[in-house]
Amino acid sequence: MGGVIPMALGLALAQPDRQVIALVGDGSLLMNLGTLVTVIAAKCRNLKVILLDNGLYEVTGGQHTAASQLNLRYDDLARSIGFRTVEACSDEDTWQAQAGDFLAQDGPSFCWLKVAPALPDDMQTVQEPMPQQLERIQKHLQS
Amino acid sequence: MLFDGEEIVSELCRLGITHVVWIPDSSLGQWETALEESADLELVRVCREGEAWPLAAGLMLGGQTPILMMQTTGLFESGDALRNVLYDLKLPVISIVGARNWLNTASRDSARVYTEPILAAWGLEYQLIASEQDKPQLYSFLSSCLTERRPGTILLAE
Repeated sequence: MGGVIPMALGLALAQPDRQVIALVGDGSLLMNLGTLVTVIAAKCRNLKVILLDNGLYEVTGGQHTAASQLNLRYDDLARSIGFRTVEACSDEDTWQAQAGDFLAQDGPSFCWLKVAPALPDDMQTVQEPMPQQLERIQKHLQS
Repeated sequence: MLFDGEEIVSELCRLGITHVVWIPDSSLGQWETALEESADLELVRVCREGEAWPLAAGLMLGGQTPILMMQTTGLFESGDALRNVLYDLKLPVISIVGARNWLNTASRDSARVYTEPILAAWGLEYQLIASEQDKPQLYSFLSSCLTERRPGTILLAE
């Protein structure tokens, strides 16, 4: 946890002609909050961060994050750090209406999605071994 | 400092490094101007060393050749990120780690005391550069790491 955005930034810097989207949970983001500053400092225009915020550490059984007790506005935080495009959506209809524009604009972009906890049946573990996943990703990136 | 800025840039370019991902200490920081001014290297500044390992992983997956630079204290801090990148993702990221107080043999700095035990605990192969005579080993060690696709660290005595 905490490595999604830095890894996505590395990919985006490595391949500036590709759009890179980082899907990150709020627990993971909080572990490495400074990485939002790193993104802006790197002047990376092809990276979009989409934050899925449910206020919980789902993987360990649903405990609350420290931020869940606060009135933290991740959109204001991203805006103050310098993200070019910032959106906030708390329902699916709003996301559906804004997603196209959000994805079409140059970054760096940040979208804060308030989401409900996942259902237990939705919590799937990826079965494909990691080396195979990386091999597949690298082949795609080289194409 | 054993290498000045121009020397280290020359060595990194000779190795084919494309990106330097760093949080410098007072010794490594002396290289900042040279790194910034190099037309062949991109300097990426992170806020905490735990970002550096996955960022380098992303660069590597994207076809670039990164090197990390940090002090031993940053290495200690970023251990879990190191573990994930080197041992779960099996991406052979290379690094230069400034060894705080290494040259002060009387120092009881805990950062100095724990440097080698922590490198050993993480199974991280390293090459100590502590004198003028050691300097050619920076290129030879890192070159072999890159060629053989294995992780490795230059431990640069400070």
